[in-house]
Amino acid sequence: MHNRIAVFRAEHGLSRRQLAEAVDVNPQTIGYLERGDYKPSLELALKVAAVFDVPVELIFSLTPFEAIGASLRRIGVEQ
Amino acid sequence: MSDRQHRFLAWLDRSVMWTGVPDLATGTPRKRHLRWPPLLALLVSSGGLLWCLLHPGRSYWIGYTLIMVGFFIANLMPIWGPLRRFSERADEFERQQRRDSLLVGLAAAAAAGIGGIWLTVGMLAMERWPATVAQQELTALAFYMMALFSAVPTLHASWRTRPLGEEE
Repeated sequence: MHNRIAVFRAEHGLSRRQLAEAVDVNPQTIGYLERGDYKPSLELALKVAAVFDVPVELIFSLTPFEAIGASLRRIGVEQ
Repeated sequence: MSDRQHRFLAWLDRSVMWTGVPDLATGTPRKRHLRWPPLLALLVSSGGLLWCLLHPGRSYWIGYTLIMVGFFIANLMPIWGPLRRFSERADEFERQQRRDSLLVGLAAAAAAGIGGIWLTVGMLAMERWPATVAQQELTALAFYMMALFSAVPTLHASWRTRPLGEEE
């Protein structure tokens, strides 16, 4: 499973510890999640999505996410 | 107090903190990856068991001592290893890690137990070991199994995940 937790965390200016406290897990668990070493339960995935106020599929995906640079280039071309 | 004394005392403080004993005393033991100590415990106790099997006579105590050394090291693993105890609060990742690692430890101890008991029964049936030797071997096996059950879960949990950096 792929995720963009680190991107959303950086965007919201949250430390790993702050996010961990918000979803009631150990900060190390957030680290393992970000690195892809651990697949979260549905409950944890929903909690993480709720913290960033986005649908869960924007953070977690079964297929790799498009690189941010590629997304920006594509948007630039479309505009 | 001179600057050198101050640095020495600070170094002593850091050394004590590194051991994890102060965290243990406050009831919040520090959890860290222990990759090599459980491997050492397993190597020493396995060597001891092998010695007991190959030298069941008068030099049996050498193997028994090695098993006890491994058993002692293995018993320290749950204190400082990455797995949380059942009495500690654990999140879903830690609960899964604990469940998987304990299952691997249980399987390893069970495999050693089954192998050891059948070996002892076979040696008794073939009259290669007298009853006293079989008793000694079973005692050694019991401590070896306990060493396995203490060290293998820590070993499994420590190698399954890579340690995290400060803000990785």
